[in-house]
Amino acid sequence: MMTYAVAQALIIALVVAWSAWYAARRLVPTASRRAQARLATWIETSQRSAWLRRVGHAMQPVQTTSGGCGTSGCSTCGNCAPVPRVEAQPLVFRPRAKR
Amino acid sequence: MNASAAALRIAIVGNPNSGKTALFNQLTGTRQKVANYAGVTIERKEGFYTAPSGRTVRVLDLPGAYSLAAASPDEEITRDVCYGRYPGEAVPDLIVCVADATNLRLHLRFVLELARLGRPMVLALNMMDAAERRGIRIDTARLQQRLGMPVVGTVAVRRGGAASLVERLDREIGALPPAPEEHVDLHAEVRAILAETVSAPRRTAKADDAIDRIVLHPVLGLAVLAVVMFLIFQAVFSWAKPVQDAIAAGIASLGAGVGNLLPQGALQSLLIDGVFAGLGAVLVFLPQILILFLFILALEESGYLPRAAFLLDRMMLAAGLTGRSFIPLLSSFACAIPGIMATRSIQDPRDRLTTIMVAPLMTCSARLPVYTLLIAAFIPARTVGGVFNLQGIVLFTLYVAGIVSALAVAWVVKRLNRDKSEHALMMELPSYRLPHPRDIAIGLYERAMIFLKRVGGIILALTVLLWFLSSFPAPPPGATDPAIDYSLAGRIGHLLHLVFAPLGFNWQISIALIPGLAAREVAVSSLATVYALSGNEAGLSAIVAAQWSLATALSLLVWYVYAPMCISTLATIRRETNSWRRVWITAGYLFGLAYLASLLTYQIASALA
Repeated sequence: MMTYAVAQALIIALVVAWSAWYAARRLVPTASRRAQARLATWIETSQRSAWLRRVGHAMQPVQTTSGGCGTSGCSTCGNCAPVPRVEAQPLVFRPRAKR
Repeated sequence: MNASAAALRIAIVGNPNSGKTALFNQLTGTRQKVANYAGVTIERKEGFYTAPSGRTVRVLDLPGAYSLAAASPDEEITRDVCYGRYPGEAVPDLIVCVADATNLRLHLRFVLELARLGRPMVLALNMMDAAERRGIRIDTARLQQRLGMPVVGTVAVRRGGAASLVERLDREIGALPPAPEEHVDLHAEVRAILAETVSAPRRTAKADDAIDRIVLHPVLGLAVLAVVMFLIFQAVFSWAKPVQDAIAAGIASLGAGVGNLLPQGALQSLLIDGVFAGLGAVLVFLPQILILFLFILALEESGYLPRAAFLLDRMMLAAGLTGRSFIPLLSSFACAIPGIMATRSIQDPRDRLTTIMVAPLMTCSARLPVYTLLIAAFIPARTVGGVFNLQGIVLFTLYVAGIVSALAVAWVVKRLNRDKSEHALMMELPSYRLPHPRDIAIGLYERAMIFLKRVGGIILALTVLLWFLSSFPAPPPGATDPAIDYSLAGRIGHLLHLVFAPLGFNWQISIALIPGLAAREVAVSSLATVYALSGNEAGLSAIVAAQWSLATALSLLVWYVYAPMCISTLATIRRETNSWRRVWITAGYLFGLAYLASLLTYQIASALA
């Protein structure tokens, strides 16, 4: 029974941690990527053992130019892909010529 | 060696709705969205294919443009790529210009303009099958000679319809066409070329004219549009019920089976009260979402949507928008994000901004689970007038409420703007097309996959987090209230209740509103989880019907007509407008409207009850 209780706690902890990580990646991609990079860099520092440095290196987020939703024609916010920043089309207001 | 660096780079360019993306899909094997109206593609897309000779070809699909003198942000992308000014993109080795064979009078002008760029070109005469059906005869050999570039016939929507183009591109890179001189009137040049190379019995299709006489009629047309929209929402309720019941029963029995396998405890609660109760409550809405998209896809393929835009132009103009806003707003029925992005085809920046601001008021498919849950719980499933489903009528009314609110907000924005100028609608009306069952089936499959990925992704993650917050900390020894009251989520819910009590929301609803900001369907799964943890065994619909008043249900429905959009939509507005101020203005006015409208609804409904 004791073993089941430990396994149960472990499974729940892992599932909740994954959920928190996933939700953060989807909802605040830039901030979560920054936090991940900071953590990975901290683990990767030279004082740590070689295997821990490898873990830190593997944890470094993949570089993308932009995060978030917005594949054109996707019809959804559910299948997002990183979009290069150059494709952003900001609104630019220019004063009209006087008529 | 880097394949993309060594590959032949071709750019697919042409007028809007000439079939560029369909051709791109044929060449690269991708499934980018295609539809029968102008302005579907608003970004550059990239794909690869291997030619029969083994050569790698990199294909760029560009937004449609009528001219290189770009008038809207999407046309600017095409112009910049063609001129080699697009950041990080070299000038294409070859331009494949796609022209609608049934409408060369319009499309050839752009072909001649592109020829002035001095790049190797191939002309793909698309929709050759439709041209043949209409008796349009094109002397391709003569056209080729006249334009000085290879001319290949294609049928981009048919499997293998681009084979001749692939074979041609593999054989030769194209030709450097003679550029028309600067002083030459391109329209006159087009007329001269058409006189030599094309014979057509009439300029427009006979069937199109006959249908347009009805659907573009100022009175009959509006009646047809109203009937079409009304039927869609009737079908959403009437057709989905049996499948929904089957899904609900399947999930319930699966949940019971899994529950029996595990001893009582937190893990069992996570699976039963969290995963099965939460996700199951959302999953049952899949049939309704698919029925809605069945109609949207069929309308998109048929060519009816631009007609609807034309019909509504006068009404939209009065509200401060133009018919050009219709397609982005219609896209917002699926999701506000592609709708906001589709505003790139709007030329006037102020019209574009207004459309962006009102797009979240269109009822996106994520709201459907909330609406249908409450309608099923509170509106009796009976027929009105012997034909109409009452629940369908209420759903239709909610969609109409969103549309009317969007028009009202646009009208107010127009009043607030100093610039009151109006812009005439210039829109191409495509030929009608019978929707292809295979394309519809693929579209529905993709839509189902998107929904299921959302359920298995963000909705699952947030449901698990809410279960955790609703389960811990555990109640103190000797506690008499339900355990959830002592949890973190319970305490937050009771705090939020102070803010939302005037709207008739209980603390369970108040909790569900927060994860609902991430994705609106999560509000349903959150309610299911919270009620399951409160010891309610019945289905969510039955619980809601038993425990909420009609005034509360109406108030929540109204809240979701206006409710602040999801975070992804806010991020898209930020990116498209490059302004946090506009994000806050949009979120603020939507929140204010939602609160005010819900407050009024609840207070009036309570007083009348």
